[in-house]
Amino acid sequence: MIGYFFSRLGLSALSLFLASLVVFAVMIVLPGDPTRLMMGISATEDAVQALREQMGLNLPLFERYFTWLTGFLTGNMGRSYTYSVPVSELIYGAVSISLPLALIALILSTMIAIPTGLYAASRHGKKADSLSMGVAQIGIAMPNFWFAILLVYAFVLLPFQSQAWAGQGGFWGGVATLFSPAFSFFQWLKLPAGGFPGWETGFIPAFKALILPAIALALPQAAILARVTRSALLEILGEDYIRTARAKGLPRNLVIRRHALRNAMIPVLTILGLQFSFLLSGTIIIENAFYLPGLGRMVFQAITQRDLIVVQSVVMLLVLAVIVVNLIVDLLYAVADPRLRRPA
Amino acid sequence: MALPNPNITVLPTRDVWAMATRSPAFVTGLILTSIILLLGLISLVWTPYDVSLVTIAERLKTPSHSHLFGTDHFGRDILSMIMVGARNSIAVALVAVGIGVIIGVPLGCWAAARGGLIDASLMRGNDVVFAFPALLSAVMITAIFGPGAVNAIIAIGIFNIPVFARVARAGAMAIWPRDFILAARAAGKSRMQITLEHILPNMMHLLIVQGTIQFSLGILAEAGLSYLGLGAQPPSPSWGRMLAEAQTMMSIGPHTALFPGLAIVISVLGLNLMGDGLRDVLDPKLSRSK
Amino acid sequence: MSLLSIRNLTLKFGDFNVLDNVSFDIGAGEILGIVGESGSGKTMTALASIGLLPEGAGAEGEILFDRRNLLEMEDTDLCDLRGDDIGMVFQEPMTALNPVRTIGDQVAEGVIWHTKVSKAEALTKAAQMLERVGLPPVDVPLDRYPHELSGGQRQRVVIAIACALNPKLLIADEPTTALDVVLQAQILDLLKSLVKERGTGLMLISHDLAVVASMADKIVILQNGKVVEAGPAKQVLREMRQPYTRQLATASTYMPKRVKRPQGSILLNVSNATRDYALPRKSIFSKQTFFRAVDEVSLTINEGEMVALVGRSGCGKSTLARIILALHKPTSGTIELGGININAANEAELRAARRQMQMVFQDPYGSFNPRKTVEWLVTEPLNLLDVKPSRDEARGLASNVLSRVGLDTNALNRYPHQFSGGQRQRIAIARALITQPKLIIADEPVSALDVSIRAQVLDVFAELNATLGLACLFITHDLHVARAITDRVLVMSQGRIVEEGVTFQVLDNPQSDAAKELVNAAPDLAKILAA
Repeated sequence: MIGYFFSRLGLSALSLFLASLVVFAVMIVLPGDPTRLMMGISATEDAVQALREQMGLNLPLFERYFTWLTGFLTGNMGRSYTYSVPVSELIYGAVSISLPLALIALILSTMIAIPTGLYAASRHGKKADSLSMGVAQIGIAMPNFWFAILLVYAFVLLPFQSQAWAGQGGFWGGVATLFSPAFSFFQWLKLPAGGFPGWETGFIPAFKALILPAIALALPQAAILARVTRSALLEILGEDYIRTARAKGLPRNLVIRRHALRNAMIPVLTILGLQFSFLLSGTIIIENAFYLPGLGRMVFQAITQRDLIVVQSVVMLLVLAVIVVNLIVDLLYAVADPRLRRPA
Repeated sequence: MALPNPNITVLPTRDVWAMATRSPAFVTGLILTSIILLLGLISLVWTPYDVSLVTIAERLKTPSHSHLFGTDHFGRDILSMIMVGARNSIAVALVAVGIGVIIGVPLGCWAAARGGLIDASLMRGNDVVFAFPALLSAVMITAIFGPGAVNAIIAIGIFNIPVFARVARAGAMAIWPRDFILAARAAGKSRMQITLEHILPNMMHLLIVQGTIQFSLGILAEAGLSYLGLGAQPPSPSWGRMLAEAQTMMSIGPHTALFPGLAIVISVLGLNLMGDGLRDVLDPKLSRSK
Repeated sequence: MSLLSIRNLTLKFGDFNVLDNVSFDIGAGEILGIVGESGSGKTMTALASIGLLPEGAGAEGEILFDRRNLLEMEDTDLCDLRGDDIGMVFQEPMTALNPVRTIGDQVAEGVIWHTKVSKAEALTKAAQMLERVGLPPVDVPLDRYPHELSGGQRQRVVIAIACALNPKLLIADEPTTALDVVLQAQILDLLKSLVKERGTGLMLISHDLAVVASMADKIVILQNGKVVEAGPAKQVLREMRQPYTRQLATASTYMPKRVKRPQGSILLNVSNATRDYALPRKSIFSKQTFFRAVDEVSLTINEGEMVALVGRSGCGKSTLARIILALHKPTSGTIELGGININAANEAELRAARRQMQMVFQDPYGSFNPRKTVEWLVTEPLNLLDVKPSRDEARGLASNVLSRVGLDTNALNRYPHQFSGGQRQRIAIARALITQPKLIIADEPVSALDVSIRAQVLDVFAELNATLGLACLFITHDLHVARAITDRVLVMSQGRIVEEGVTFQVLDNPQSDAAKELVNAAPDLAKILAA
């Protein structure tokens, strides 16, 4: 177990080191001189040169890498070129939105996916199985930003518009009247269509701003996870030891719970680990779709504004998050599967 | 996304086709995919309207006989835009898959054939690439080289390389210990010959299944990039940008968001169903459980 | 009154009849052996008797257990029977246990489920049961996981699970097929003593007539889902009234006709071959340790000589074969074939050496690339020739070797999956013959085949030896095969050759412990029936 832990830790550290080299190298080759961007085209060559020296951009590459890395690790990430505030401050603000968003989405998708996958597997070949997997297929095929647009329409715009229709009669009027209790509930909820009021305005309004984005992020992930859970379970249900358990006299559902579920967690964990990276990708789009000032939107804007120092730190932070999450997944493997604990 | 499945079931190609066409998932997927492909192909020679034709008088028309899917905020015909957008999406995703296959598969085969240090360093490289959230790096790449369809292809294609390398490696590793490989070695075949004659033909199915999955992911990724404004640039229409524009029009023209979204769902769904149908045929393990 | 009574059982998958009107009885304390070749419906009989038929199976007739018809019972009622009154032991001990749960847990689980005792009580019971099957908790603690146990130990755990609640009926489906002969003898002894001391009825399913003859009171012979013959085991096997029974019995004791050949000169000379495998390190700081699979092995094979290499599984037989074939490099030692030292050979010499020796594998399904035609596959070794033949010449050579092994030329354009296991093994031999080698190394070439097909393949080897003077190294765990086809035998144990000599002398009068163990464990139909 200890050996396994250290070898995983070592591999993660190596990946992290290599990734930091990649991040640093990309920033070097990225076209566009940041000092020029900061000072504008009218600045004199001398002034630009002075700023370059002040920012340490004239130092040898190795030294710049080392300064950047130690700065990153100690939280001293420099100042944003565009906003002239410490990068760490910007990141802190953004993380306070992105982290809760990602966590809610992760919890939501797991809570939907695993019971669904379990249910579908236990009804394998029956209507309920095909139906839930059909829905999952559509969920996977749905781009999350389109889903976000539809969510905003259904929860925010439609309840408002339907009031006008309800009075008009006809087919759409009928539909509007039929759904009016739901629509009035949505109106009462007052979910914002986008933007973030900030945590300082109180928990409820801030949390409400994250609900639709979290759903938009979670459902496509849940669809994937549900399918993986189902197929992992089905694969395991074909194993010999399931037959052994059945021959003991355990009923099918108990066999699924006691013998298949834990074993199926191994592929499910793998996907959860991979999904974390997809989730981060998703936040870039979803935060843009909902105008949330989180990490995803921040890095997107920083890239388009050539705010390299912000990009460097945020990308490194995200990569760190992915590697740490995968390390945790690797360690959870060992909990789930005793074969990994001791060398055979 | 999908993990390589090292259980290689070996079936002759003809049987696979016969069995696949009996699978409802595969046939449905084939039909959906063909619809989108056909739309894209027809758009090469004909579209109902010129996609760059701006007619402000016709703006935000709901679906009707003259505009089957309605018009957008510039009065452009949405059906025509979707048809041309299909061409764009398919081209980007297909070439990106091609990049992944052409570079990734040989790398994976090489790693499996040589093992040892080559294998270890290649896999480490893979891990590093996987540590970067794919869309983030795609955004970075398109930001470095400028937005556009070609750069979107490169950005998506780069992330297909490690995926195919992994699948090919896992597939090859599952085949290398087989007896028929020993027989080939006893017949004096080189690793290169063995890879070409024995390994590749037997993992073709894995690659095809992964190819359909990556194809669908490519369509989603292209839509995401163009939604962020980093894909094909105006006036060339793309599904993602159509949705980005529709988002601002939701209160007055919700139909503009409906059809591009459906087009994405249909093409991705079609490809995924095809991949699923194939996998069911190729991996009977999943279908035999009691 | 019998314990289990199967009456006119017919089992169908769609239109395909798996079992056709099968009837037999098992009484309390009785051992019933079911014998049949692959596809005879043995396993389905077993699964039907515990109510675990796969979905889509249509069953008619009656399976009466304690006068209740299993085919008419609800699954909840069947669950009460399974594990409590009926236990089952499966063929594959490596996969029959859940890898993520401890063995104690897995034995206790059924006890808790059926008797509603506390976990602690169930574990005590599990410990007793494991002790009874030869895994005392002092040696093998209850918190071990299956991967920490050997194949034989795992099969004991499976037996403990099946017998934990003292079932009235135990069903064992090929319980020893995946084990080597020595383990097979131990497991069979265990099963026999368990059922005798507890008065359990045992349904023992096997393809091996000798195993069943040594165990069973009664025997049922199945062929294509039909009962060919049934009755008291020894009587049925002695009288052999039905032609199929006779065919099975003669095939499993088959001796092909051999022609005595004069001794040739030395063809293969292995001296002090050693092969180490690096073991996975316990941690990155610990020293690299090695497992010595082949330990200072020296042997010679003369031209035209048939030599058997026998030993328990894991003794290093297959590794040695691969070293000889230059597929693995020895850690030390030399291998000379026809005067060429193949470890020091350059590429041209190695090709020349490889032309002289080819191999035939155990698994007739895994030894061909399924995407190539038989022509392509059989002609693959022609790659070793310095002057490559034209396609027509190659085709001619291929049809020659195919006719040598008794296959038609029209096989050339077909694919391997279109042939039966026995035919594929002939194709494998044809492939090995095409470069006109002097030596064939055959790694368990008949052990995956049914007995009647095994006899035919042995004939092919005997005939090739007689007409072409082909030398052969026959790797086998089956002493009968060694006796049937070889002149000389090498006994291998833990990487070393511990005994060698003329086959029948060594097998009739073994000297080393390893050879004695093998000979004593191997069931011998003739001896059992004579007793």
